[in-house]
Amino acid sequence: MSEVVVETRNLTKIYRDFWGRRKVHALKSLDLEINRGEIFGLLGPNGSGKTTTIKLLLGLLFPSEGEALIFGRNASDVRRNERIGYLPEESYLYRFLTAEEILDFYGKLFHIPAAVRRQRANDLIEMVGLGYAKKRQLKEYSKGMVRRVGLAQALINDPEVVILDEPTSGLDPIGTRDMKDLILDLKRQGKTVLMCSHLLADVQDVCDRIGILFQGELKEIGRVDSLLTVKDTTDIQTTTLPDAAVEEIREVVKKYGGEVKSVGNTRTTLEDLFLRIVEESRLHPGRRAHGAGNAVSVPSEEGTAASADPSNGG
Amino acid sequence: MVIEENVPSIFTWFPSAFLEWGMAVCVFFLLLGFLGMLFSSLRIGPGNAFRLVKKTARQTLADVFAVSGKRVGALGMLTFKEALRRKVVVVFIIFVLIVLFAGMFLDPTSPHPAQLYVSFIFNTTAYLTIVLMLLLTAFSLPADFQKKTIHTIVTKPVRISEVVLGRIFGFALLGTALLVPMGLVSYGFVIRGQAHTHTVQEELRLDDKNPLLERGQTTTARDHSHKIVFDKENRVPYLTPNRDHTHEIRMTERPDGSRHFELGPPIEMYRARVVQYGDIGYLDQRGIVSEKGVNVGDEWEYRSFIAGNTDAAFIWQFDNITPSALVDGALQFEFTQEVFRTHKGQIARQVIGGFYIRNPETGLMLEVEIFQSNESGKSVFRVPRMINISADKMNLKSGHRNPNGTSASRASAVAVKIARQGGELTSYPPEEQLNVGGASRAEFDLFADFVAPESSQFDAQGREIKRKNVMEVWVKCLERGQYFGAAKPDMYLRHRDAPFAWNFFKGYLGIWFQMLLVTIYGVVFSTFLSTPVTVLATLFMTLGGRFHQFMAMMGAGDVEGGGPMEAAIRLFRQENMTIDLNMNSYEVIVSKMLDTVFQAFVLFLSYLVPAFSRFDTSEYVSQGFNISFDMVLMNFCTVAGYAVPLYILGYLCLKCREIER
Repeated sequence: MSEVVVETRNLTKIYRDFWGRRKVHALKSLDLEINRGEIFGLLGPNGSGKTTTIKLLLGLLFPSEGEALIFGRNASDVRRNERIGYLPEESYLYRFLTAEEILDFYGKLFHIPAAVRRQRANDLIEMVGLGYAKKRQLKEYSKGMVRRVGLAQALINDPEVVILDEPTSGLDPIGTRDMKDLILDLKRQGKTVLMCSHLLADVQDVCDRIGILFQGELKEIGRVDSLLTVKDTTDIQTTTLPDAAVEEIREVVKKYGGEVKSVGNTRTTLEDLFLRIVEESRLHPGRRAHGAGNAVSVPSEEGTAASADPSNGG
Repeated sequence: MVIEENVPSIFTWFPSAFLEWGMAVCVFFLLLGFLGMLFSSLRIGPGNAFRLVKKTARQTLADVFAVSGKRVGALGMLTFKEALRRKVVVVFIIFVLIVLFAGMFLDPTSPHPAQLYVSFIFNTTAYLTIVLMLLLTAFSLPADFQKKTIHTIVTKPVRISEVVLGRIFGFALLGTALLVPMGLVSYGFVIRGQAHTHTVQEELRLDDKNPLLERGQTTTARDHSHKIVFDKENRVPYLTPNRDHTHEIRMTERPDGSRHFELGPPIEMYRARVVQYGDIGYLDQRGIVSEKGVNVGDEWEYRSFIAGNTDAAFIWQFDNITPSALVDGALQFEFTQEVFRTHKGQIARQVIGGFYIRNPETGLMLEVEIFQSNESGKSVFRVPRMINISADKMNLKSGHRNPNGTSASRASAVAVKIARQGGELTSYPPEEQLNVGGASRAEFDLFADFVAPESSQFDAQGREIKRKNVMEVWVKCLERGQYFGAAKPDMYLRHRDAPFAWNFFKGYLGIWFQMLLVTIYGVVFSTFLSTPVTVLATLFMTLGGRFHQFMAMMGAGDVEGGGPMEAAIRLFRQENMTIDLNMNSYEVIVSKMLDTVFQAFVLFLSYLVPAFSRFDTSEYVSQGFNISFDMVLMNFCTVAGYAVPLYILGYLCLKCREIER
């Protein structure tokens, strides 16, 4: 049985005004368990209680009822924070510091020895691709760059649990892809990731399990692949077939009592298209990119189709 | 001018102060706990509220003491760096500019230029630093909340106590880093600003009135000059003091008989007099011990008066009179007195007084000096260790007489002395008034004959206080119908001066203490108030602290005219403060009750508001008095006394606050 590292029990949050009158019931009796090594996504529209849940877990808000535990400890025990990394929704960082200084500062808060701190800060800055700007104050950074520094600070202590609030917010598609790759990499390192987002594609790409919140209530929870499986349809992808073959397949499907709902070329995602064009432009500077309409599918490791550039071989 | 406050020893002060502090802190936190419980009970019920308060108290104890120095250091350095990158250094540049142009608006004709310069520089530094700290602290934590940068701090293994302490430490560091260069610039400004010398302008000429003296004049520098007095008998030149200083003067006599005078830089301009105060007592006109002297009609009863040519006297009792108190082989007493004349007399002539020392146990008494005083004068008395009354200038049996009967050597001594002080002796006291000593021996040892190894005294409660090495100093007015007035600090024993630079540094420590307090208050208020309210609250504490004494008096009900309600009634009824109100009147009873509640509130406030004025030691530096180490320690303890509960309060406020909201 896997170890539960993040847990909420009957977690409730009611926002009140100065006089104690109830204003908003932000979270209603949330019971949640996140196991070690999994990526858990909290989904929901704006105001559904995702960020409230995270802030309750981190002690930034006090629960009206119930408990929010990480490693079995509530927020009053600051020692647990030694094993937690947190990336807030907006990267709330000190803009007058440089990337190097900010990582050094956060490293000091963890009592990381100076040499290790320096090494880790350098590694993280390289990892988030800001080596060229590490001596500049954050106030000179773009939003995406600040976000990257925010991610680096969340990882400065090599945490066991990483809590990411809207991790791809403010990032360009490349940054988004990098972030998702990084989250998957964290999972490979055995870390537990709790993220919340309303960008469904991001969650779908990386999460093992998701919980869907709506108006402060947990509406659905489970594994992404099982939740997303549509049980009354069968999806078969092949390389491009001639019309005759398609007709033949229709007949076969009909023979078995099924119905072909659509036939056509597989559509790639805009994110894939964008990344392919950027990559092509980087490889051949000055040449117009020809990514559009040239996508082909390649079998991925898991057997599902994934789009790829024709130049990579199809 | 004297410093009126007699600073007790730290060992005398600390136990009672610590006890009072402990009680005040306990009451404060018990009250806080009670209020917390009251409000929590309304929301979650009394049982849960009790458990919550208990848990909070336990956590507070753990968090307040388990603080990581490294984290506090990191947070402090962050605060420091933040302020620096927000161009706080501009304040130092403003300070330098003010100093550079200070000469344009400081009065060059001031009779006390050193006091003016020191006061100016201390006030400028204090105001700049305090206002800066007030604003910085008020903007710091609220900005952290507003920009949510605190989210990335409290989600690290950082205790709330470390956040509060880190802020305080950071701002204290910043204030210190600003004060150090400011102090150096200030010291240079004060010393260099008054550096000057003179040359001899007028050749010395024989004094018309005193054949023993020659007089001359220096050149004018910095809007003043000095008179040169040459004592022909002792062949010593002196410079009369002017603008609180004099100059070293060296005379070289050439083979042809001419004299060359060379003047040095100012001396005695910047001093740090180490003084010891004694306990004052009074004898009335019949020579009977009295609680105080005569009131000559002053509303301000600071000074009591004694009648001239009677048995009335001021008696100061000094303890710990040991050879270590000798300066250049003598005890030096300085006396500031006020003269009250009941008749004009000779208005150009000063009033004569006598200075005596007495052994409180044996009763042996010696007249040390007959002095003259103008309406508010200052006299210096030197009592050598070995006193030979037949050989020194106090010899009253000399055959050389002035026309009015005073001995010639005595006369010249008085004339020289008064000339050195910038005055002029116009006539001499009669011999019979000078002959008050009455000792039959010729030689005395100061410590063997006039200092009692042990002496007992009874305080107001009748308790016996034993003191060691005690000597009495008596002052009498010797002119019929004239009065001398003095208060306890008007007579002090002057020890060897402390270095002025060191005193200047201690004066700056006073600003540092004030800066620390403002910082602590600012940080604590900012844990639960918004920026504008934090500014106002800190400002209230800072300004309120200047009126701390009044608040304490009001809280204790010692203000004449009662509290605000009673004052209002007096206003409407047009009854002045000294009239007792009719206690049977309904409105008076109600007003007294309301005033009692108000007084309790003010008393409570007076414990919250530190007495800022007690940290302001600039007056000591400007007046040339040494700030005692006891005083520095007391101020340090007082700051610590405020810092500890305020730090805990700041912790509690931040702890009980939802960071996100």
